[in-house]
Amino acid sequence: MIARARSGEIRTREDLLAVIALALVASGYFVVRFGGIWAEVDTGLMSHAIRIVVDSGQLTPTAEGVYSNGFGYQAVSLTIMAFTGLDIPTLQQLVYPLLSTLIVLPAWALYRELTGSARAATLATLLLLLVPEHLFAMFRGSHERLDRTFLFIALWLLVRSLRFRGDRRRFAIHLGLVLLTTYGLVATNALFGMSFVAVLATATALSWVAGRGLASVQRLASEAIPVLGWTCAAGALLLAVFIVFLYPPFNSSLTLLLAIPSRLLALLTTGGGNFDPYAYVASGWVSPAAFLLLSTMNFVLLVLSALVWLFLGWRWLRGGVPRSIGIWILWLLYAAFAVQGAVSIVSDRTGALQGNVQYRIFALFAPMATPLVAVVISRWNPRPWQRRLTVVALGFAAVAALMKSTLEPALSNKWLFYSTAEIEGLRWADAHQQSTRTWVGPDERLDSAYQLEVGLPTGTNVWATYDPPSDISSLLVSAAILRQSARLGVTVPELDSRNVVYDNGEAQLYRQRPGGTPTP
Amino acid sequence: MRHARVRFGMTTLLVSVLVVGVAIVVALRMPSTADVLPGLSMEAILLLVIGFVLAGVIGSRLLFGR
Repeated sequence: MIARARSGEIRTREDLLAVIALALVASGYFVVRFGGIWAEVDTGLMSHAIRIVVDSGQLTPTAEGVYSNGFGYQAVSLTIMAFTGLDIPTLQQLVYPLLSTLIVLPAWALYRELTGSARAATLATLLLLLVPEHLFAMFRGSHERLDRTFLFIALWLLVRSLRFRGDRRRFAIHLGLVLLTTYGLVATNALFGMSFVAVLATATALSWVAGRGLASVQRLASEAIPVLGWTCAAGALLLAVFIVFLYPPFNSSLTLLLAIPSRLLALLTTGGGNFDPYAYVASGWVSPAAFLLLSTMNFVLLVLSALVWLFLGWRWLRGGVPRSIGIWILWLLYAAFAVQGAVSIVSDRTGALQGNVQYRIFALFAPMATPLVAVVISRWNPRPWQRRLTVVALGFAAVAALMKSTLEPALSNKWLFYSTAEIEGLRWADAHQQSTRTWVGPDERLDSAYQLEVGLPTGTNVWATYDPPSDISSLLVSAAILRQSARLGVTVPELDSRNVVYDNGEAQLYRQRPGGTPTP
Repeated sequence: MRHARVRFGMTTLLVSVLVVGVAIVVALRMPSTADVLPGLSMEAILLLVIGFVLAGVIGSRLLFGR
């Protein structure tokens, strides 16, 4: 008996190590794909936010580019830089993606607590690593890697605390740590903190309703409600203190949030929104088929998890009892994140918060969907051909996840890569121009790369992106800019009538000739 | 019986890896994209293949290795 338990333990450890190895491979691919020279919007934004915290020595500096939703990511980055001597680009482009592989550990711990099975937990973690949106959130240079870490740890401790209700000391320690990690989440990004508090509130309400209506879940509901409810209340208090007293820059985000209801009202009364959150599928990829192919895992996960959730609900409705409190809480959390997903679909129609809330919520919803699917498929006993098919499908899903998470330029029209020559061109443009608007490409690719490597343009210089006016006075041109413009259908202004004032072989700066009508 | 099944499974996996590896190299290292867009380096291709194999092997162990 003991030997069997030991062999199971060794096997669990081996499987967990294999999943960590897969996460390491994914992060290695993310770094290696573009030779460590990559950037995207949030990476540029957060890099600049770290830079101004480093330069000012304050967590809430008054400089342009302060991150309005929290200071946690900047504080952690600053600490790592102080201890290691790393610079911002090295930390963001090389070190953080590799370090992020460690997120699988709290994820696995949470899944084991929820499912009660080490094998289901490892399977859930494996499935999570096949979700491209999760990989992108983990590896890019944004606060989301820290948000996820805090979220997984807070939920793990919360579910684990239920085991120690009879032991006041351990119970109190667990809940204290839950609040500490919740504060970490709030301080890193108050919007994610709000989402977490709302999830706990929804789960509490759902548990209360189910407990009153269904005798089969009454006991588990009554056990879960106090812990979920009090944690939610304490989390809301921490959130309020952070927003009102500790971090004034959040006011700008609060203004945007408060504008959503009136925008929604306008959306309902006018019968349609001006913003199409799905337009990026058409413009962002070479074809909708490429997007759908790389997103297959998302759809499979969405459908399977919804079916499992409905099946469990139906079974409990007919008198079945949840196997454990972990499964009950998993069911509640899944529903709570799904509610946020549904709300975000409506909110995105208003264009608020860049209109990509559902995309971000999906990356938070997926971690609750994978354990639900894992619980069921870990008991699956397929035929040999089904086994071979599943194994190959998992392999393909891994390749698709790696390609989508790096926005493979052969398939995506939004690119992560840039060249040092392009950055040199921008440096020159900024140093040798004044009060000039310089077009730097059909999207924010180089703007973000410059923010990552250097910061914002100095003085009153501005980097212009998207569709350039035909009479813009200054343009940066490279082979990649021209190729991406052609992909996105952006017309580059005519170059023959302009002077080349800078050329490093790969990037050129064009200026309007004197006598033209430049746009300042 | 079990050994035969494992051997068959591994062979299928290895053949699939080869097919996928070759397909990726052909599709993504084409000169038309490699001249401006960064082509896949050998390290990246190696990591893709390792990712494919690892996901398959872990899945196989977890799903069917009882």
